[in-house]
Amino acid sequence: MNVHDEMSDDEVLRAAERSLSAIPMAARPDARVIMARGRARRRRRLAGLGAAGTAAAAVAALSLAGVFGGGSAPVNAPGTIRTAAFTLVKGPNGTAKLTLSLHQQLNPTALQHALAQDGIPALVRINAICSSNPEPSDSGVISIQLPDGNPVIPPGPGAASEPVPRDAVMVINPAKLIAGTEVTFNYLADNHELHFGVIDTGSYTCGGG
Amino acid sequence: MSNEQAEFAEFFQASWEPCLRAVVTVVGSPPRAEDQVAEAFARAWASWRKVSRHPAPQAGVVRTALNTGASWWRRSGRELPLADHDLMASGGPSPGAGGLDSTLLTALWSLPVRQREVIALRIFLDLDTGTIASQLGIEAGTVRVHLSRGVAALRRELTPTPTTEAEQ
Repeated sequence: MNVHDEMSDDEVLRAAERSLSAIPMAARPDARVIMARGRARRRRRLAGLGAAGTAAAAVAALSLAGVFGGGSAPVNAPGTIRTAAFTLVKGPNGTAKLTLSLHQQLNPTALQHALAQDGIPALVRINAICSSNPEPSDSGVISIQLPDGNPVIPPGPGAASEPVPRDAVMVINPAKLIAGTEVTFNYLADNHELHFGVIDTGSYTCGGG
Repeated sequence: MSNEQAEFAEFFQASWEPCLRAVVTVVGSPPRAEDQVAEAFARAWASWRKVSRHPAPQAGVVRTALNTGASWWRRSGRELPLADHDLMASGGPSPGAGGLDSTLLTALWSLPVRQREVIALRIFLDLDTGTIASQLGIEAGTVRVHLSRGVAALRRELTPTPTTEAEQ
């Protein structure tokens, strides 16, 4: 066989389908069991709506009474850049912690400027995925933590195609960037997804997002 | 059994296996996939009037099943442990047995999640690029990129290494 004999996309997908279809599976449950589970779920949901309505009324009353003290604008501490869409906190050894509120519209220029202020070369794009071919190694430039501090297992090659979990904290260490590379953050507004990766500064494409 | 119940039962019987295999393609573990798909069908029945009007109800079930798993993932703060995949952890059927290629499956489950999702929806639900894009909430171009990268990675496992004239 030579390289001209490589399998077509359809042949590859059919081979994958054959293998996946050969995996033994448990028998299909009875539809009546599933429907009973669905009915129970519907009952719980209706019961929850009643409870939520009561709780919402209580929260509204407390807010009116000023218990939550809302309304004051956040004040930036030294080394912190905070907007509605993101918070960037300067850390030790040149690192920075970035948290995004994916429910807010992200201004790519503002984020890119804030990262630059912290010494992090970055390309921020909306509705586009940026990548270099071949992909440079990310070498641990970015690590991700959930809000409770648990680390997320670092993505492997092709990380740019993996969205960052919502409310996750990204710790960026620019010292680990290989010369001639920069980080890229790609925000897909329709789905409120943030993707990241490392690209060659002089050779990358953005599109398809 | 009411008309609505009969309609759901028919949908369930026709859709269980393709939905389950699509979810196994993404999560790796058949028992975990069975739990997630059963929960997704239960939710589909709980909202059947809405789901039955969905343009691609099977895709909706798969999406719900995967979101169920993603919720677990977010709570636990880690990737689904592919290493605990029952089939692979037990050594599984021998390569080639019954059409099962363990090397190919290992490669498949090593792909990024989004690539596995796109491949699953294409293979088992036969969805076109536009429908996959709307189901996953991404652009059609992104779907094509994920599919292309995923297929290319699998092809490397399937295509024998080219030999040179000297080696022959």
